[in-house]
This record gives sequence, C-alpha cells and structure tokens, in this order.
Amino acid sequence: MTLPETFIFTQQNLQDYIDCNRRFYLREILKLEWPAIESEPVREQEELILLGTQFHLLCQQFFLGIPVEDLSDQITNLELQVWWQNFLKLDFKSLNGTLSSEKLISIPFAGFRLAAKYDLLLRDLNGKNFIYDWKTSKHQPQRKYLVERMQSKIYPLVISKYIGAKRFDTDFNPESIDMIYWYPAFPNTPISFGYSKVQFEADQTGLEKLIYEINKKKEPDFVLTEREKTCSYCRFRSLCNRGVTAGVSDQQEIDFQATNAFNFDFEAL
Amino acid sequence: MNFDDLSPAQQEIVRLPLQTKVFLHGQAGSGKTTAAIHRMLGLIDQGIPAESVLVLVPQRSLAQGYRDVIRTPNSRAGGEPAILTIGGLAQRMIALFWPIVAKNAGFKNPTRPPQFLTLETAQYYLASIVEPLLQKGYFESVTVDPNRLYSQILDNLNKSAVVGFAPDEISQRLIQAWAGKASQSVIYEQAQECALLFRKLCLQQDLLDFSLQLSIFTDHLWTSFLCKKYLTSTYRHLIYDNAEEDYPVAHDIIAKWLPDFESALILSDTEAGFRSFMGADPVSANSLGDQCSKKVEFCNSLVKTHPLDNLESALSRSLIEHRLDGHFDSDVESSFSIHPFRFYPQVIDWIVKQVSELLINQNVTPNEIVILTPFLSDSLRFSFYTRFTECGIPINTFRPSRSLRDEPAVKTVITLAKLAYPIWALKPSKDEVRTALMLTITDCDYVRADLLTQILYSSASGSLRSFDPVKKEMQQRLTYTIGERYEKLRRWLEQNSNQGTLELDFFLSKLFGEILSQPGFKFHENFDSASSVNRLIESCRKFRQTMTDGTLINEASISKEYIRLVDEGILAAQYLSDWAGKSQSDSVLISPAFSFLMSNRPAKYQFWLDIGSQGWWTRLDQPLTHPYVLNRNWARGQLWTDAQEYSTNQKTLARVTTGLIRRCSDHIFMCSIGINEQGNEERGALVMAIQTILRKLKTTAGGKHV
Ligand code: SF4
Repeated sequence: MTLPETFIFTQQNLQDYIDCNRRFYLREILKLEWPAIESEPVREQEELILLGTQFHLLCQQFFLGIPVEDLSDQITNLELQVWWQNFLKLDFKSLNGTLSSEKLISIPFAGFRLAAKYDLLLRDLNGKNFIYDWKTSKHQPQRKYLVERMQSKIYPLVISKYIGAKRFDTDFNPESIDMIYWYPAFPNTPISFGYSKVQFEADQTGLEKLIYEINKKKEPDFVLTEREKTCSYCRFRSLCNRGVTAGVSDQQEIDFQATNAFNFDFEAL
Repeated sequence: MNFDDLSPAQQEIVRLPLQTKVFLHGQAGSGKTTAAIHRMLGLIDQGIPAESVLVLVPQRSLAQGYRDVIRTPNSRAGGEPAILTIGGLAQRMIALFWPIVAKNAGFKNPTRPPQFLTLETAQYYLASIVEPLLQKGYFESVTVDPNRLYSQILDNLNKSAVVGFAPDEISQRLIQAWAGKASQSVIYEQAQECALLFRKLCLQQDLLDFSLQLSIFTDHLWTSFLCKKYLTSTYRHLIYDNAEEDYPVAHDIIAKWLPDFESALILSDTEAGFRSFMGADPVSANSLGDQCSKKVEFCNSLVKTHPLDNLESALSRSLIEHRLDGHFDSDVESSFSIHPFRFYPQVIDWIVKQVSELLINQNVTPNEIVILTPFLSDSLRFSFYTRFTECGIPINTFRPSRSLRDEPAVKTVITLAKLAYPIWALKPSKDEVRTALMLTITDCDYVRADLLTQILYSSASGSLRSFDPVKKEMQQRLTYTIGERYEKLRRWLEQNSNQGTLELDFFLSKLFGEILSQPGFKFHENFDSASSVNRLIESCRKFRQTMTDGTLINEASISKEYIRLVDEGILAAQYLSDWAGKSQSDSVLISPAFSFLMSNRPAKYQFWLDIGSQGWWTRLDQPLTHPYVLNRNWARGQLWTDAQEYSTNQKTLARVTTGLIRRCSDHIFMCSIGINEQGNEERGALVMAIQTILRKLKTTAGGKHV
C-alpha cells in the first residue's frame, strides 16, 4: 500500500493508527462512512461537542478583536458562561507578544505532510513559544494519559520545524516551546509540558518510523486491535464483528479535530 | 509539472515581479491554471506566508489542482492558502463576525447564533410559507411540482443577491421582460410576495439562506471596519481562477478589494460563462482586467489538435450562422466520427466495446476517456455501470446532485422508522415493507420477503407481528435463519420505539449500527448503502438542529415532520454529492457535459451521447424566474422574445461544444440514437449543426462520415 502523495498526517489519524491499525485503514484509506453511534450517551456527547464548538469560536472571535461585551451577549448556556469567564481571567489582552489563533501549519515530513491546527500560539517577548490547546471535556485526564497522546508529540514538533525552517535555523532550540492543555472547566490546573532537543529528536524518529511503517503496509496488515475495549467506542464495531451496542464513554476527552464539531465545514465552502 | 516544463508564456507569468496585478485571459486548455498554480508556489517559495494567499474559485471543483499541489511534501512548511468561493468566504465571515453584524443586518434575535440554511432547510422554511398560499389558489396556473416552485423562488432571491438588485424588484424586472399573456404577471407577483415573506421569516428567526449570506457580506461585513481589516490584513495576494464563471457581485467585491492586495492574478476563460443559470457573468469578469496593471492573453491551446480547432470553429459557425461559407479545412474529418444507432442499448454496447479497444489496443489509460451526455439519468448510469463492470473497466460518474430519497438504502431505513413508530400514523405500504425486508435481511429473496409481508405485516396498524406463532410449515419454508433475523429486527424496532423520544438521526444511527450493519443483515459490508444512510442522517441532524433552535415546530414532532417532508420530496430530494473529491484518476468518466466543463480537466477521447437530443439545447422550464432577465446585462424595458430564446440557446450550445472541444486532445466519437430513452425520435440543434458540417465536407472532400 502506498498512500497518495497528497495524504496528510495529523495527530488524529496517527492516534487512530496507534489505537487500531484497522480503524486507520477504514477511516483514512477507504474513507468509509459508517454512521453507527460511536459511544453513549449520545445526546450528552452532542451537547458537549456543541458547547466546545461555541467555546472555540468565542476564543477565536476574542482574538480577532470583537468586543468582549458583544461576545458575552451571545452566551446563553450557564456552563459556557463559566468557561468563558474563566477564559477571560487568563487576561490574554494584557500579555505582550504575538498571538495567532486557529492557525494551521503543515510541514514536509517523512515523504508526506504532517499538519497541526493550533487553538492559540503565543510568542512572548523573551522568545518563548506557548502552544495552547482548549480542552472542553468535563473531566480532566491524568498527565500520563496526555503525555502519550500523539497531539503531545506532533504539536511541538511541527511548530519547532516550522520556526526552524522559517528562520533557516536548523539549530532552533526546542526548549523554547511549552505545550499547555487548558481546561476551561478546570482553569487552575492546566497541564503543561516543556519541550527539549532530546524529546524533539525522539519524537521525530518515532514519527518517521511510524509513517514509514504505515506506508509500507498492505491492506491485510492493517489488523484489528487486540484491545477489544477500544471497539466499544468505535463506530466500525459492526463491520469488524466486535460487538453491537456502543460503550458508555467517561468523556475523558472530546477532540474537536476528531469530530465534525464545527457546524460548518470550512473545507467544504 | 516542473517550472522548466512550462511554456515561455507560462514562465513569464510565474516570474512577474511580486507586486504585479495581472489579468490573464485565453481559451480553456491554454495553460492558465497551470501558470497560476506555479505562480502561487513561486510566491510561497519567495517567503510569502502561504496563508496570506487567497485562491478564489466560483465552484469548489475548479480548485482541485491548487489543493493537490499544496498538499504535496514538496511544498514548504507553513500554513495553507485559503481556497474559497465568495459564498464560502461570506459564510466564514458571518460566522466569525456575527456578534457585531447581526443587529445592524436587521435580525430580530441578534444574540442567538446564526443558522445557515442548506438548500433543503431553506426549502422547508419556504414551504411553510407557500403551502398555505397554495391552498388559497396561488400559482394555480403553474403546472410544476411544488418543490420546483420553491427552488425557483429561492433562485429569484439568489439572483437578486448575485446580480445586486433589491429583492423587492424581482417581479417588476420579470414582468417588464415578459412578452406572453398578461396573466403571467400575477404569477410573478405571487413569487415576489413569497420571496419577501421568506426573507422576513429569515430575519425574524436568524436564518440565513445563500442570498441573505451574500447580501450581509456585501452590505454589512465588507463595510465593517473590523471585518475589512481582518480580510485585507489576512489575505495579501489574490489568485482568482475562472472569474468568468462567477457572478457580478463577486466581481464587484474583488474590484473594491483589488487595491488592497499586494499582488493579484485574475484568470478568465474566453467563450465560457457556462454557469449563466447561476449568474455567471463573463462581461463583469472582463471589467476586472481594467483594474489590473497588466493584461496577458494566452492564445494557443496546449490541448487540442489543429483538426479539433477546425471542428470547434465549424461547429460554432454552423450553430450560430446555420451555414458554413468560405474556406473550410477538411482535416476536420480526423477529429470526429459519427456513429448512428437505433436504440440506447446498442449505443451502450458499442461504447463499451470501443472503450475496451482503446484501453487494450491503443494503450490509452481510463482517465483519458470521458462519456458525455446532456443529462445523466440513474438508469443510464446503471446501464453503463453494469456493462463496464462486466468488462472489468473502472468507471466513475459525476452527478452534481442526486436524489437521496430515491436511494434504495434510504427508502429502506425510512420504511423501518415508520414501522418503529406507528404513532406517527405514517403507515408504509406493503410494497415498501417487502422491499425493506428484502434489502435488509441476508438471504431474504423477493418471494420470502413477500411472504413475510403478507403474513406478518398489519397494514391496518402499520406494524410487524411476531414470527413465533407462524405455522411450522411456513416457518420452514421461510427458513428459521430468516425468521430469526426477522425477529431480531422486529424486536429491536419495538424496543427502540418504546424509548419514544430518541431523535430520528440517533435512532437511525442505532438502527444502522446495532442491526442493519451487523452480520446477518445486508448492510454489513455494503459501503454504498452505509454512505447513503450516512447522508440521510446528516441531513436529518441538520434539520433537527436548525428546527430546535427555531420556534417553528415543537421538538417532539421534528422526527415525524422530517419523514413527512422526505416523502413529499421537500427534504433529501437534492443532496450535493462531493463528486470533485471522489473523482477517481484511474477510471473512465461518465458525466453530464456541464459537470465535465466545471471539472477543469481535458480528456484525450470524448464520446458525445445522443447528439440528436434536445437536452443539449433546451433551457430548463422555469415559469417563476429567468436567468437572462435577472441578469446585469439585460437592458430593462426590453422584451424577452422567442427569437431571443432561440438565439440564446444556439449561442449557449455553441459555448458548450466549444468548451468540450477545447478539453479534447484527440478524437470525439459522436453517437446519434434513433429512439431516445423516452422512446421518442429527436433531431435537436446539435445534430443539425453537425449535419451542416457533413454536407460541407461532402462537397469539399467527399467526406467519409456521411
Ligand atoms: S471496531 Fe475495533 S477493530 Fe474495528 S476498527 Fe474499530 S477499534 Fe478497530
């Protein structure tokens, strides 16, 4: 199997591959539309996705300079109101530095492109780069769960390589990068990770190996996961003969890039 | 393609100084888009941030080349150019700047989020206005189905937005141009009233159809300091491809915006503007050339041969002048051939054989062949699909819109939903139940499905009975396995309808996942059915989310209302399929001619199907609207006469054939059919024009086609 040259790797599709090779194949290569329910309770999940979408949009509008009062007027949901107030307390307005929100960056990587969409990138006056990711789940996961996620590896790597390439600086120091997962429902306990040259190199090698492995595979090599619990939260379970009903998710994390969260699809316009 | 492979003229475009604004025009196939793609890459290579480049196209399918190239690993690290239509840009800006624009734009509840209407949800809201008026006798003399009334009323509003006139001028403009019976003016007035009522409803309920989105963008956002600052600082470089296929208001916006761009490259095809029914305006596109510091023309085709060039000119002259006077180069003969057939099946067999011959003996690749037809019906598509599949030839079809509710998988799940909720009193017919069982249960053939229906479906209550009490002999005849599967389905429907309030989209998702796609049921490995059901669920979800936010109908009735509207053809009737994204590079393409023109790709061999068909020539019957009158180039006060209708149709056909020939590099096989799909004999304008060429050939060179 050779992937098309225009295939784009993201934290979401690589996480799929890690979770289940087969899922990657069905979703990314076959592009299969399989409208089963992923996990229960489905109504609450939809509600949470809508709230998360609204929160992300509010933040983006805030950074565009739309007056806070106008934005606050748009909020009718109590929970969102609390999240929004918590966000305002971060006081980004008074920070000195450069900010860009909802920024998509992709880099050439291992014969393909590797892309990341950043909720917020902040570069302060000391040259320190902060990656903020808004996590609108109702539970905060443990640090060790996040550290293993593809997002924690790909986001700092993409920005490091991007800044390095932009400045023609192969010696760009990854230590200047911090990745911060900020939970509006838990404003005082952000989970942040520093970055280092060692980590950068380890992630780079690991990801290159992974992409090489994926590209080498033939259809039957994309095997079903051995961890059958994963199938409870996967819409392909009927196709794979891995169960009937969707499992009840603890809503550990709803990833906005993994869902069709936005009610309009920018790509489709 | 590398830079070195470009023609000198293309290289010149790529190398133009950074701060240049250039208008590049020329015929399709002259290499404009390739030059523009390299220009875009060149800008990025010079260090321009990719995300500061705005690539505008009138239709998404026209952007594929740009999309592909920026996604290759050769592109630099960074953002991506924004590739958008003006409509898409408008929607994006409304979503972002809604809090500052909603009030000024006249929305009654500016603190509620905007509801972007799809074509189908717009039709739904419009239907709620028009249905009571139909009862009162509105549109009595118009003999088209209500859905076509709705789409034309929406089309009138869209025309007012894309041409740039007030929505209350629609009827006046149409009446002024009407040359027929005076009673038509009543129809136009009624259409006007409905359009204005719909607009009022949108403003009351924060609903935005396409026309309102575009008007808000032009009248409110473009003039807002914050939004304009965002647009002009975000996008510094413009590439506008196929500007001739866009509408005048898009050109107005670009004309105002041009001074703010550092560089611009505007591309326009000559003898095009195929989307005239959507307001395409080559005249206003050309006026953008006056604002550019440089105008360049690409004169030579990189695609077609000399004989094809002659065919283009001969066909165009014969269509417009009805004769071929003067010099006529007989090398045109090698560019096309005529193949007469009596019936459709014969032509299909012949085309399949001819395509096999090209693939096997002449080393042609499948993607170098297209089969073009004025319309592509499902039965024609199916016939080709079956025949090509038998021969192992991959095919791909472009169908810009398809009727989702006619998909068998969709009909099946709708029938099952009706069975689950007898309380809706939308009882399915016996036929529907039989088909649903046959398409659902593995190994259940027509006879068994019919028996199950006869024995176990109560059409009085609209529900299924249990398999268990059925007599043993009958159980054996039906088989226990089928009985077991039937029972599983029946019990599931019963249990889940007991949950009562499950939203229809969730219900359908569960039904699909827990039953229909499980082993023992036919959707288990049927990816096409899964895809159709997925689209239905998406449509249903959008409907629910729009309705829940509005006040039009209470939440509990939404599911029933959705099903009723699908049955009536208001919802799930038109659903845009993403044919551009799914086009396969290694297959023979079968496409309506118009869709092929909008895909911006050439083909070595073209088959033109049924050249006698009036479909190549006739305009859609639209009693409530008029694409040429609701147009900026229409002189108000003039009458639209039969003579104008005739000459416009001839010119449109000439444009279409010119566009097709410009996208062909070797040969066109023209197939005529004595008896068409409907069983009629037709001799349309295209075949007449071709006969003029044949007669001329006969007199000049004893032509072999005749
Ligand atoms: S159901 Fe299980 S095995 Fe199948 S794709 Fe999903 S996670 Fe993988």
